[in-house]
Amino acid sequence: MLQHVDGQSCADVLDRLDAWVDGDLVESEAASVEAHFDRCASCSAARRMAADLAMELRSLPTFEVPERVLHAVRMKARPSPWERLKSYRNGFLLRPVTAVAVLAVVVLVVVAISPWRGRGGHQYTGQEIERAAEETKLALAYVGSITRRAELRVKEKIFDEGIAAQTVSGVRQSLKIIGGAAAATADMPATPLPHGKGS
Amino acid sequence: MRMRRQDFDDVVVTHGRRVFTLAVYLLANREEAEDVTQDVLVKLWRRGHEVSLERVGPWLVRVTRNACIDTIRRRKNGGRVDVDGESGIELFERAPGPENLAYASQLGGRILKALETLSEPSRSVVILREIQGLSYQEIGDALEMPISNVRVTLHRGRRRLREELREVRDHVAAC
Repeated sequence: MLQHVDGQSCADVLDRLDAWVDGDLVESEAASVEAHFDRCASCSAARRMAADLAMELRSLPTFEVPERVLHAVRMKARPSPWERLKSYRNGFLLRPVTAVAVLAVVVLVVVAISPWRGRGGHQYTGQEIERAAEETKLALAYVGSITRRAELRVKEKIFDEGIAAQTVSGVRQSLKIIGGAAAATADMPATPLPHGKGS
Repeated sequence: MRMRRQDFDDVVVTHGRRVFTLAVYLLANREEAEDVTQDVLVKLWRRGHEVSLERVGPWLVRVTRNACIDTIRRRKNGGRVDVDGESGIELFERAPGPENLAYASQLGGRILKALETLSEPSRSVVILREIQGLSYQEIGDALEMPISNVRVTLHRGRRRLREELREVRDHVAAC
């Protein structure tokens, strides 16, 4: 082994071997190290070995996480019921359309249990009762469908078939039935509908 | 508080390979690497609030490495965890079982064998740098080491590997 070539000792060059492999040396430094390699068989062998090792290591494979591990992780990493509820509350229950449906259910329940129901000698027609029942079913179905898929289905119905208008109309009708709430009915805002459907 | 599910899924997609690959090379045992990967990802889900999304990569590497070291300690002590610290621990001295030999063959046993001679943290640094291609900065963040220490540790690890491989070559040439 040569101790000094071009003013550089083999020890100095070998100390910088990793930096040379990584390409971390400035151009002039790299050139002087390479000049040393050209003249020193021992350091040249070390350079080959370092380069080969780096190449072999870099060619080793990396591994995808096996599907069974991902499956096990998914099973353990599920939101708790409370977290799911919070998620629904944040993403679903606070939407205006949902609020209208919930309001409809509340009003209809109030109608159903109202102590003033039937006072004043008003007789419900079969059509009124049937309509109120339909509106109740619709509102309950809507509120009950808290999965995303069901939510989307109901949304489509609301927007495409103008059901929101029918629901609001039904709520108004129900309020008229209890008589005393007639004024409140007049103040109730109509739900804006896309495509100008319904009234 | 946990991570948002979407964030968690994204992290698994982005960093899962890195976690599993590190475990495979540190443990040289696929089954144990799968167990460690599962534990680490579940831990990420449960303790997601402790780490920001920007720091999740280094956090995962650190937690994976620690889990691998714990697994290796348990192997050596028949299930007990050694609490005497890491100094002097030679992490990969154990005799390989048949499944590990097969795996070593699959990876290219010579290099894997040489890697097994490295102690920590050289082994982790070499794997992260040479096999996974992390920068010095990323390695430093993950292992909580200054970059200068990363360089020195990597230098020692490479030198040790070269010596190991030279011995193997000399041995083969002599036979």
